[in-house]
Amino acid sequence: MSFIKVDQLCKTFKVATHKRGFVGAIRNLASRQHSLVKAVQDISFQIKRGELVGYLGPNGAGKSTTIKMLTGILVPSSGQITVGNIIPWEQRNQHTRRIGVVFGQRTNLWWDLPVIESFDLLKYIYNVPEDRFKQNLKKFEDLLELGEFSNTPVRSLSLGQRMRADLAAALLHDPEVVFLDEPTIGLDVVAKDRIRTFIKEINQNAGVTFILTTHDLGDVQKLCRRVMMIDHGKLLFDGPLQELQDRFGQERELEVDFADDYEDVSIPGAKIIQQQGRQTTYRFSREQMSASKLIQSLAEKFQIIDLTVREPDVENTIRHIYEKKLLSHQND
Amino acid sequence: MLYLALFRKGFQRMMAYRSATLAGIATNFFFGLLRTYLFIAVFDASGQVSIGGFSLRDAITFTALTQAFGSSLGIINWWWEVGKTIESGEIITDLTKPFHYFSFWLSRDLGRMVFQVIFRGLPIMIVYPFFFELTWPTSMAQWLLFSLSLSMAMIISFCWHFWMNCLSFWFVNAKGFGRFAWLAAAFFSGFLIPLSFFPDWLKAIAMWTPLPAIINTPIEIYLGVAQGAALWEALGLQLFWVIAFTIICELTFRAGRKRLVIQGG
Repeated sequence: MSFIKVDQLCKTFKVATHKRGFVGAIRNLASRQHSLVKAVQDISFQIKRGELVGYLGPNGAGKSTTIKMLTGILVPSSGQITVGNIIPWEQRNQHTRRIGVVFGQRTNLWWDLPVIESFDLLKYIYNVPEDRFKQNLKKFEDLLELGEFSNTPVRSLSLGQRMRADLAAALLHDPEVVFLDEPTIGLDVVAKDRIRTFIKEINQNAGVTFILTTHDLGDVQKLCRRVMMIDHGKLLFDGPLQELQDRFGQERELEVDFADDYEDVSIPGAKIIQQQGRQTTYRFSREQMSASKLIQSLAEKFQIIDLTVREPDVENTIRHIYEKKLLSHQND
Repeated sequence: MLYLALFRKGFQRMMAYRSATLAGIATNFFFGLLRTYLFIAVFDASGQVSIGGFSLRDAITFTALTQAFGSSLGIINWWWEVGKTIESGEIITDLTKPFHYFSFWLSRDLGRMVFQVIFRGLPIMIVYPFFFELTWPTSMAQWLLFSLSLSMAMIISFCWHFWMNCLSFWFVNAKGFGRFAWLAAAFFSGFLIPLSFFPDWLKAIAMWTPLPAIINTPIEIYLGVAQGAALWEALGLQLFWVIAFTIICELTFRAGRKRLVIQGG
């Protein structure tokens, strides 16, 4: 059963176009011309309860606009969204009680209050029963190590601390679905790791559904089994991370240690990218040649001591997709 | 209850700024002295015992009261908390939470106002009599009516600020309007000089705005300038503004939210 249903979602913004130059500026005063920007075009998907979905795409692709519609802040131009049978922007109050939201660069907490005071306010806002509140607080304090700064005003927190506090704040009322917009932006490695572990824990143990947008592929790799990729407002890919990897992460590498010095170690279908003494690294495409085929043809000609196959990492795959616009070409 | 908790936190929050409170009292008092001597000069020069129903002692009390309660009533300081969150887009995190936006900020700000009445207002009213003779309410009823009027003034003052803050939904740089609103409030509320000193036509203009209800009304009640029917009329007008302005703020906020929701933040 799908928990979140999105059907043919579109959002068009009206943007004032400014004429340039002095004369243009005067004409702007007299008449504003508008152009329409299609931020989200005809997106459909379904998400089951307890899923953890990564929502990827370059800047300005339409990720945040989609999230804003899912949270009920924006009303779509057309199309339908239901989250557990609720239409977010119509039953706003009901909807807001079941969701948790973290917009990475905007805090949920009150700037000049100690963290714990903000939590306390959230308890009142969501009417969290006292014992449940204490229980959750205890759990989050342990998992996120909030204790060390819970009496510090938010404005004095480090970014990593603030983000941890923000995550806890978004989860205090036991939301069914949590939207995270770039939850690890600007954090150091340790802080990122702590946050990822926490998200994973809450997703697996409490069955909370997560949708996260991110530019950090570490987040994706560590957390998301399913990814959706959007660009120019269109959903270009929706499936397991592995599939994305298989389809576009084509360039694999093979590192070989030969037993002897050979004059020419080239093999058709594989490109030599590095040669150092008796060690050679080949790059080959999944489509053109399997690893076993390559190894076989090498072994027929040369004596090999050792070899390693390196799979392309997600980072490279996705960069490859963005740069080459592989997905958009397919759909257009 | 959420709104009570907000009120408490708004109050507590001010306690963190102890030195700012002390500095505020000192500044308010200093400006009070300046304004007092200005009135003394005016009364001397005019040779009159009473101007617009104010004796010199009333006028001095007027400076004490305005200096004491001006910061609480948002005349001395302009408030831009909501405008800021609209400009920065931070408002969207507030909109994903189930609370009533206007009441949320009203409760918070009432916490601040009550704090400032007690810790910035009362000290000035206690220090002033060491320097000048003041007019005091003559009966318990007058004290109570003054308190009632001051409470309504707080709500109207909040509305004035909130309403102006909401302009940020429509204008990229609404702060300019805010500054204008602040000046307008200082003048038309009767903060700088009592409305009774205004020429009739200017006073008539002022009376069409909610601004006199923020300063002029509670002070005239305190001084006993407004009495009998005029007093009840003034209180009635204040009550009208409390209700009408709250509704205006709510409608304006809804329109702004609608715009944000359609047009994006």
